[in-house]
Amino acid sequence: MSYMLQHLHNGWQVDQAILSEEDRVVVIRFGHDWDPTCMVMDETLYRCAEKMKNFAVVYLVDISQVPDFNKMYELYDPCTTMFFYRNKHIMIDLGTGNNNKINWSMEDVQEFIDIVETVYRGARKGRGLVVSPKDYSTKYRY
Amino acid sequence: MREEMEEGHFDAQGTYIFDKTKEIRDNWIDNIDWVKVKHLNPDSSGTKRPLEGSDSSDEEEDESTKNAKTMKAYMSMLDILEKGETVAKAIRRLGKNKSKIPSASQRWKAKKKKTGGSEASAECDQEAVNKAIAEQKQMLQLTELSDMLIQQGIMDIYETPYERISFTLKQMREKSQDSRLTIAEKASDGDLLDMFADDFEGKEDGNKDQEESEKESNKGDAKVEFKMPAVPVDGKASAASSMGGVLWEYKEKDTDGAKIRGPFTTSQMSKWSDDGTFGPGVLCRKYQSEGQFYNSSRLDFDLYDE
Repeated sequence: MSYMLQHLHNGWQVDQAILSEEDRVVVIRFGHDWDPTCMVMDETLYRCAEKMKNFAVVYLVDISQVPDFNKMYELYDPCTTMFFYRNKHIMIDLGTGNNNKINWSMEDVQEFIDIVETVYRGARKGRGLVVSPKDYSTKYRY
Repeated sequence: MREEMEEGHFDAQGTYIFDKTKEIRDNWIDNIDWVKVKHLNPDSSGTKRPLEGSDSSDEEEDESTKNAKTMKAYMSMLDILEKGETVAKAIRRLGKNKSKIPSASQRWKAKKKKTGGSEASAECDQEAVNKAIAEQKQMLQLTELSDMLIQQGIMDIYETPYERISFTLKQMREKSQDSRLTIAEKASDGDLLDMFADDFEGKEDGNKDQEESEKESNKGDAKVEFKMPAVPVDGKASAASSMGGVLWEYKEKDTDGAKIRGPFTTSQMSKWSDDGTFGPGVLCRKYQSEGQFYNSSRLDFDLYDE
């Protein structure tokens, strides 16, 4: 399903995508299209993208093709989703201890939209860190 | 063909035209004094013009009376609706017992039966029927009202819940109070211009005026509020959250059967979550979102205040 979502093929494109978006959250999934975790996440993203097109835009980045950010964002997980708003990385308190990113795949579409909406509302109010509506500490242990 | 040619002729397009110019001599038309008619014309247009003028002023009036009408409609709607109910739901609720209203033939049968006996049950039936008829009346009134509102451009009236209607009503009241207020302020401004020396007093007077009218508006609010404890009573808090604001509902226990309360405005939820009304946290979600419930301790209601 991921073919409907736009891929970014190099570091410049990623930078431009984050920079050029004026008033929407940029959601970037870092990973591999062939990875089963990513496949699940991409499916969710695909189903969300249309519903949240007013406040968010989704891009996919292959971390083998574009390794530029792997070190900076510590992209070691099979699937990592991060949020940016006006060239700023927005952190989310997910209850997991890692506020930088969602490094698992989500299946619930509404749940993900709720997170992105929270990010969007928080970022618009100038927050660099928002609290996700759901606490993922019990569901996903690290 | 020849006969036809005697009575008329064909024109270039082949249309047959009767040559009746001579025959049509109407005594009535002959009697009309065209000079008089011309005299009358400016008069009639003169009478028309003020009519048009009144039309346009009607439109202006419409603007003000429209609001009053809408407010009235909203108020009578509130009487019919139950708390947390949308108009469509109310119509469904009221229309449910329609089948209980007997048709004429059924009534006749019932009469026959009554003569036969079992009057107690018949009376019981009668009560139910009366109730159903009353509900039917209410439903018709409700549909009429919503139809009127739709004609005035409020297209989503059927999906509007009770709380939002009461909120809109209150806002409209405030607005009308405000417009009166600005007039009062203008008047006091005029006073200020007239007497510069006493401008301080004038200001004070203006403030007093404001205070008084505010009191009045509060009184008005109290009147509206009699039926809706769910909506924040203090006018300022509700005025801060705009109409487009998010509404919430919550339940205290994480079970399917738990009673869902709401809708509440964001400012109300924010207040409750700040002052500890929710305790360790209740489960909330956006009103009628059908999504999952989130713990209120993790929701930042400030984000939803526009």
